[in-house]
Amino acid sequence: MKNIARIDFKLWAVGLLLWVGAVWAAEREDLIRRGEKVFLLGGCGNCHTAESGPLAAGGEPLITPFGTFYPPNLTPDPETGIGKWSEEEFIQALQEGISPEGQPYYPAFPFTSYTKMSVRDIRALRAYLKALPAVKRRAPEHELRFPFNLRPGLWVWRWLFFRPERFKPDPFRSETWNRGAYLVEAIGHCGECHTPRNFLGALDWDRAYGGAVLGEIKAPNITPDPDYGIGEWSREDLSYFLKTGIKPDGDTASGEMAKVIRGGTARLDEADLAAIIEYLTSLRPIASDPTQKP
Amino acid sequence: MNKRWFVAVMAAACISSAWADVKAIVAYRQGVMKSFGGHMQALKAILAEGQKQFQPNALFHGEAILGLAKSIPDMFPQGSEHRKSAAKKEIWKNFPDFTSRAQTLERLSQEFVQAVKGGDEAAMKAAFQKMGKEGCSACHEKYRKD
Ligand code: HEC
Ligand code: HEC
Ligand code: HEC
Repeated sequence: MKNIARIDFKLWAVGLLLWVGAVWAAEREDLIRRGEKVFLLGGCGNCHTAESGPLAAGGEPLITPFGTFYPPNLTPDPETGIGKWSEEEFIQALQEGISPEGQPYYPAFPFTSYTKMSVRDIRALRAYLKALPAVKRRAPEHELRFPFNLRPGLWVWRWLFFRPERFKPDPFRSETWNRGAYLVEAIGHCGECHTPRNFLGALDWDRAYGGAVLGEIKAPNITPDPDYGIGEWSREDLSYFLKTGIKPDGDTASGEMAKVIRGGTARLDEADLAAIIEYLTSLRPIASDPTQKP
Repeated sequence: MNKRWFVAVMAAACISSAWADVKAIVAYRQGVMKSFGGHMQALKAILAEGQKQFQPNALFHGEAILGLAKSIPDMFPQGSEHRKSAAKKEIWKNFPDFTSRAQTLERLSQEFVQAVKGGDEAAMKAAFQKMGKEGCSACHEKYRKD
């Protein structure tokens, strides 16, 4: 009698453990899937994955007017990746642009946008990265021109141009608009290419989304201005473009934008895509475009 | 002396005619690419903007793309770089890959033509989007300056 009760209890305990385990695993799966969405729209792989190289194990050289950057390995390898990092250190890198050693990062890593990301999304992102296969691959040192090669100079840059901040919803706007603003500004970092910069590489938000030329990347004006921006595009045009890369004139996306679409916006669900469009069509029109030749 | 002059003039003539050839081939390929854009714009109007009365033309548009896709690699001979061209140098560093992307467009435009012949609207729309994204854009992503 006693024995049977004990066996019963054991079975019951095993069942409970399995159930807890299953719930835990399902929650983890969920977290990782959410992290993947942030990874894709955030374009992390566009910089941190080399052509036909392993996912997130370090990317192609990034050529800028300041020199060449080598985006590092983000896989869980403890030596050459970020396997040893704590969750706090990862959050600090994205929200503050500071390394675990307390060094400032170059804004070629668009933490200047990711700073607006929620802790919830960053945790999901980390869960996703932690689940990737660890790859041993050390990124080369950046090759930057003087004086940009002096990392401590970034403290001055930060003091002038960078304030860590989370996304603040605008209570006078709809929930959809706020979701769109968050996706565009914090995760999608559309402004990192489409907003012009000053001579020290800081974004000029007075001309937000007014078009910019950075090295070889010529990202046009995407404000609703009818002459210089995309004011003539309907919402359907915009949605079609972000899903398929096909523009209203039948041309298709090229270069960096083709990557943004293939890996990011083409995979968004309808609600998030609609939110992005709601936000983009509400931007202040800007009547100029540095990418258009006179 | 005269002989040297002759050689120099001939060399200059060769270089400038090669240059004129580059200009002409760039004009040709840009013309073909613009026509692709025209067909895509027209197809989008038919398939996504309700211009259904032109649906019978969808086949011509698809076949035009299919027919021209084959010769894309020939439109980019070695050294046909030009100030007015948006072709990236990488084309000639990875010519087999460039060619395979042209073949992808050929395959996807073939699939689009089949879908039009099949007459199912949802299949047509899906094949059209795929052709734009994985046919045109996938090549532009790597080989066209933005
Ligand atoms: C435009 C290119 C670009 C994009 C997009 C990008 N990064 Fe980076 N990232 C870089 C560069 C360049 C560095 C190196 C910065 C430095 O050395 O100061 C870097 C550094 C990092 C680091 C620090 C790694 C280390 O070893 O110190 C982390 C973590 C990181 N990125 C995560 C991400 C995540 C997550 C995303 C997507 C949400 C992302 N990055 C998107 C270019 C990029
Ligand atoms: C890494 C740089 C980069 C990022 C990030 C980026 N874009 Fe772009 N975008 C470009 C470039 C370059 C072009 C021009 C090439 C082209 O049209 O294919 C472009 C073109 C466009 C166009 C077409 C404009 C026109 O007049 O043809 C739209 C719309 C657009 N981007 C929207 C966005 C949105 C929305 C986001 C954020 C989700 C975004 N972009 C993020 C680089 C970028
Ligand atoms: C195998 C590669 C490849 C494929 C496939 C391809 N393109 Fe292109 N496209 C290019 C390159 C390279 C250029 C730049 C050519 C130049 O300027 O010399 C270009 C240029 C263009 C241009 C600009 C022409 C101009 O000068 O005004 C348009 C429009 C265009 N492509 C549309 C399309 C469309 C639509 C498709 C699909 C039906 C397509 N392309 C398929 C490589 C490709």
